[in-house]
Amino acid sequence: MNIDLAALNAGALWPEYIVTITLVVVLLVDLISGRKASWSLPYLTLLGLGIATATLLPMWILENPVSFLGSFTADPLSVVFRAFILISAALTVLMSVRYINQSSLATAEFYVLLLGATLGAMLLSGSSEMAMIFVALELLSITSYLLSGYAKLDKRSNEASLKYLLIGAASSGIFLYGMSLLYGFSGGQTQLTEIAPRIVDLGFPALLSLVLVVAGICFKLSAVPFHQWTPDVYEGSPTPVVAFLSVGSKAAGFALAIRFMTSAYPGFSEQWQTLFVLLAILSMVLGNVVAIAQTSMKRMLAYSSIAQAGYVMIGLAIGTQEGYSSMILYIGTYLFMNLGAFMAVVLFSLRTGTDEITAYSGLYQKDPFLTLVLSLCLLSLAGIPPLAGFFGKLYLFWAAVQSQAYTLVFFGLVTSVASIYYYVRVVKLMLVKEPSPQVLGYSEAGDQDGIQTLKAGMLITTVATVVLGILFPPLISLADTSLRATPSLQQVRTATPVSRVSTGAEAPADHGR
Amino acid sequence: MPSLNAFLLVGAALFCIGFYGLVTSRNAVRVLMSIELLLNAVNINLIAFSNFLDPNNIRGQLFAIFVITVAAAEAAVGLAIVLAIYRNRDTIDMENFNLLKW
Amino acid sequence: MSVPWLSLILFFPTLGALGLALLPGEVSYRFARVWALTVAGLTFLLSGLVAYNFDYTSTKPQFAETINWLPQLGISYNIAVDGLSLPLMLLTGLLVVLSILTSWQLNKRARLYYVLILLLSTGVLGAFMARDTILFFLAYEMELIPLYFLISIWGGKRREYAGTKFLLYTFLSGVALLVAFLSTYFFSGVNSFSIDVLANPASPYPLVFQFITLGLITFGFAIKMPLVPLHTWLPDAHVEAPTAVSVLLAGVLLKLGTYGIVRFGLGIFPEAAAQFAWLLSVLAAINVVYASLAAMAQTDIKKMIAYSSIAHMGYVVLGIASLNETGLGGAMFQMVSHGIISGLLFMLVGLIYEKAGTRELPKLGGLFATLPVVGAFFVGAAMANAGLPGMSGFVAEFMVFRGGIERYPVATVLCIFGIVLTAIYMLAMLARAFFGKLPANLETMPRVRAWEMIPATVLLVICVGLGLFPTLATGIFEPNVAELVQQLDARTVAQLPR
Repeated sequence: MNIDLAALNAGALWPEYIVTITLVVVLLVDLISGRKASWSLPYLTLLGLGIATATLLPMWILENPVSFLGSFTADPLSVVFRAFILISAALTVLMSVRYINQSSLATAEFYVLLLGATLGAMLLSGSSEMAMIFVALELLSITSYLLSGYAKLDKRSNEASLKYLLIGAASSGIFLYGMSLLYGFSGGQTQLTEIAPRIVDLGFPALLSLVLVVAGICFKLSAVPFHQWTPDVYEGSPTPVVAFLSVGSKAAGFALAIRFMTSAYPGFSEQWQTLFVLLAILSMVLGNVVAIAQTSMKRMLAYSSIAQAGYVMIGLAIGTQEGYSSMILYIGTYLFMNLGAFMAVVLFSLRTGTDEITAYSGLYQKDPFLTLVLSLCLLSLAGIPPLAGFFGKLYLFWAAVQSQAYTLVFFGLVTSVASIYYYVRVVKLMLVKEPSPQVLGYSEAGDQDGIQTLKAGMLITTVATVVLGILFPPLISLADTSLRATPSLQQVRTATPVSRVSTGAEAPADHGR
Repeated sequence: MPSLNAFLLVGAALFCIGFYGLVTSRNAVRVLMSIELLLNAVNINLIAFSNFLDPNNIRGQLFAIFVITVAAAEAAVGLAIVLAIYRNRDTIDMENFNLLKW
Repeated sequence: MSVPWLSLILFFPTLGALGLALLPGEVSYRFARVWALTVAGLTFLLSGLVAYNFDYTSTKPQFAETINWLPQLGISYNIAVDGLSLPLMLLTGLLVVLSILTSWQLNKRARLYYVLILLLSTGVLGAFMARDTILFFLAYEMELIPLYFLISIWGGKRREYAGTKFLLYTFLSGVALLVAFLSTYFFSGVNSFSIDVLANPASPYPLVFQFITLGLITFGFAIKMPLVPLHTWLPDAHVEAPTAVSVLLAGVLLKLGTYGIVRFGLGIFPEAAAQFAWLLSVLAAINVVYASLAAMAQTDIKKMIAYSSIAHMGYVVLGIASLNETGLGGAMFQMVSHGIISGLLFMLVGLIYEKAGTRELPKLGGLFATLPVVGAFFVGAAMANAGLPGMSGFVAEFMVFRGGIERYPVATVLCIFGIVLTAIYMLAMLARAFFGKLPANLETMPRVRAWEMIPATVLLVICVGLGLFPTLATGIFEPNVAELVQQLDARTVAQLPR
C-alpha cells in the first residue's frame, strides 16, 4: 500500500509533536540528572507548552485542515480548544510547583503525566475518526486517573483515583459500545463525516447509539446525571490536578461534543439538542442547589463546575452559530476564573492545610491579595458585572433568547440567582467575619521557592478575569471567525432573525435545521 | 456461519453482564473484570460488523486492536491503584471506600 | 472631540477607589476619609459643571457619548443626561459627599469602606446616565456588591442576614430586568439595546408582549423601590446599615426603581403603561397606607423612618401612574425631595443613636434637653416629611395629588390619608423622643458638636429652598416630562383600540 506522505498533512500536528518532545525531554532530564535538575522541570514544561502555543497560533486558518487521512481535523474550532487546553496546562504548572515541593511528591512524573493528559486532550479536540477519538480519550483519561491518585500515600487520593477510574472506564465502555454500533449502522465507516449520511434514515438504532455516545461524552463534561464522580474526585485529588480536570479536560470534552454531534448526527439535531437541553437544565439545577450545602471548598467548586458545564451546554443545546460561539467564549472566560479560584485554594491550603470553607473567615485581614483574587474569581463565576463571567453568561443567554430557547434561559437565570448565594458566602466570610483559628495561625514564613510562580499565575488569571469583559467584542469576532472557517459547522443554521409571532415557544426542539 | 445478529446478541449479552457486575460487585478487582467484559462486548461488535459489513477495509478489526491495547493499559493502571489502596488500607472492598462521601 | 464630561464623572470615583485600594502600606482612616471626600467632592463639582452648561430648554439627551462597544450584540457604551436624569445625578453627587461627611468618625477598616462607597457611586451614576438598557443593567448590578458589603461589614447585629436578603432580592430584580431587556431587544428587531432606538421600533410592540415585558420591568423595579409586598428587605437593610449607607440607600438607590419605571416602562412601552397605570395607582395606594400604618407600629426610630421612606416612594408611583404633566412632574420632584428628606431623617436618627446609644422609643425621652439642635432639626425634618408648606415635600406631594385626583380619586384620597398618618406618627415620635422626661441614664450622654450638623444643615437648607423656589427643580425636568406625556398621548390615542 502506497501512502503519499504529503497527503498525510502531518504538519498540522506540530503543537502535539512539541508537547510530546517536551514530555520525553522532561523524562530524560530527570533520568540523567536526577534530583539535581528537578527544579528545572516545571520551567522546561512551561517552555514546551509555550512553544507549542506559538506553533499553534499560525495554524489559525489552515488551507487544508484534514490530516492523517481524516483522523485529525485541525480546523479553527480545534485550534481554539487546543489553545484553551495549552493555557490551562501552563497555568496548572504554575500552581503545582509549590504544591509538589511542599507535599514532597515525585516531580518529573507529575509533569510527564500532565503533559500526557494535555496531549490527549489536544488530540481529542481535533480528532474526527472514531478509533482516534477513543485513543485520545483514553490517553487523557488514563493519565487523569494517575494524576488524581498522584498522592499515593494519601488514602483519600487513592480512593478518588479508584472511583474516577472505575466510573471513567465504565463510561468509556458505554461510549465505545455506542461507537461500535455506529460503525455497524454506517456499514463500516469510522470517519464521523462519512457516518452522517449513512445513518440519517435509520431511526431508532441511530438514536440508541446517540444516547450511548452522549452518555460517554457527558462523563467527561460531568453533566448531571453522569456527575457522581466529580465531587469525590475533586475533594480527594491533589488540587492542581483538579484544576486541570475542571478546565482542560472539560474543554476537550466540549470540543468532542461539538464535533461528534455536528459531524456524525447532523440528521438528528432535534434529538440531540433536546437531550442536551435536559442535561443542561439538570446540571444547572442540581449543581447550583447542591453547591449551597457544601462545607468543603473543593467540593463546592466541584458542584460549581457541574453547574458551569450546564451553562456551557446551553450553547450546545441551541445549536446555532451564536450558540457555539458563546460556548467557546464562556469556556475561555471560565478557564481563567476557575483556575484563578483553584490557585487561591492551593495557596490557602498550602499555608493552612485545610480546604474547609469556614476556615477562610477573616482572611482579608491576613492576606488581602489572596482575598482579592479569590473574591474576583468567585464573583466572576457568579456572573456579577463587570467581570468576564458576566459577559460570558450574557452572551450565552443572548444566544439562547435569539433561538427562542426560553426554558433554558429561565432555568439559567433562576439558577444563577441561587449560585450568587454560595459564591458570595465565601467572599462574605473572607471580608466580613472575624478570623478563624487557621487564619490566625496563618503565616507566610514557610514560603519558599515556587510561591512566586503561583502568585504570578494568580495575577494572570485575575487580570484576565477583569479585563476579558472589556475585551469582549474582539473575542466575539475571533470566535465567530473560527466557527465560520470550520467546515463541519457550515451546515449549522445561523440564527434567523426572530419573528414576532409566538412568545411561548418551548425549548428549541422546533429548530431542527 | 451464524448471522450478524447472533454475534450482536452475544455482544449485547456480554455488555449487560458486564454492567450488572459493575453495579453489584463489592470487590474492586471484580469491578475491573466487569469493565473488561464491557470492552470485550465492544470488540465482538466491532469484529462482527467488520466481518459482515466492511470485509475489505477491516477498520473494525483495527479498532478492536486499539481497544484491546488500551484496555490492557487501563487494567494495568487500575490494578496499580487497587494495589496502592490495599497497601494503605488493607482492603479492596468497595463498601469500605467511604472517606469521600459518594 | 470635546471633553467626555460624563465619563469623567462616572469613572472618577472608580479611579479614586482604585487609587485608594492600591496605595501601598497601611492607610490611616484620616487619610482615607480626606481622599474619599476629595474624590466625591470633585465628582460633585464636575456634575455641577455639567448642570451649569446644561441646556434647560432642550429635551434631547445632552453631553452624549457613544462608543460602539459590543457591535455584535448591539450593546453600546452610550451615556447622556437629560432633564430626567440630571436632578438625580446631582442628588447622587451631593449625597455621596454628605454621606462621607456623616461617617467622618468611622475608623473600622476605613479604607475598604471608602473604596466601596466610591464604587457604589460609580454604579448609581452609571445607571442614571445610561442610554443603553444593558449598560443600565450593568451599572444596576454593579452597585449591588459594594452595598452588600457596606451593610454586612459595618452594619448592626443582624447585618449578615440583612445583607444577604438585600443581595438576593436585588439580584432577582436584576434578573427580571435582564429578561425584559433581552426580550425587548429581540422583539424590536433593531439589533440595538439603545433606549432611544428601542423606544421607536419599526412597528409598535404587540400589546400582549408589552404587558408581559412591562410586568417584568415593574416587578424588577418594584423590588428596588420597594413596593409592598416586595419591600421586606428594605426595613432590615435600613435598620442594620450604618447611617451613611442608609442615607445613600434611601436617598439615591431607591430612586433607581422609580427612575427605571419612568425611563423604561413609560419610555418604551407607552401603550401598555397607559392600560397598566391604574394597577400602579392601586399599588401606590396600598403602599402608602400599609407602610404608614407599619411605621406607626414601630418602636425603633430607624425602622419607623424606613417604613416612612417606603410610604413616600408610594407618592412617586402615584405620580407616575397619573400619566399627566403635573403628576409626572410631581413624581420627579418627589424623587428629589424624598432623597433629601429621608437622607436628612436618617442622618438625624444616626446622630441620636450615636449619642444616646439606643433608637428604641421606650428608652428615649426629653432629648430636647441634651440634643437641642438635633431636636430642632428633627422638628423641621418631620414637618418636611409630613408635607408642610414651605418645604420641598409639600410641593412634590401637592403636584402628585393634583395630577392623580382626576384619574384615580380613590387612590389619591387614600394617599392623602397617608399624609395624615405621617403627621401622626412623626408627631408621636417627636413627643416620645424629645419631650417628656429624660431617662436618668441619658443625662450624661455626649453632646453634638457643631460640625456634625453640617450635612444635615445642607439638606435642610435645600429642602426649604426647593419648597420656596420649586422652579429650581421643576425647570430641569419640565420639558422632558412634557415631551414624555405628549409621546404617551400620541401613541396611546393613535394605537389603542378604544
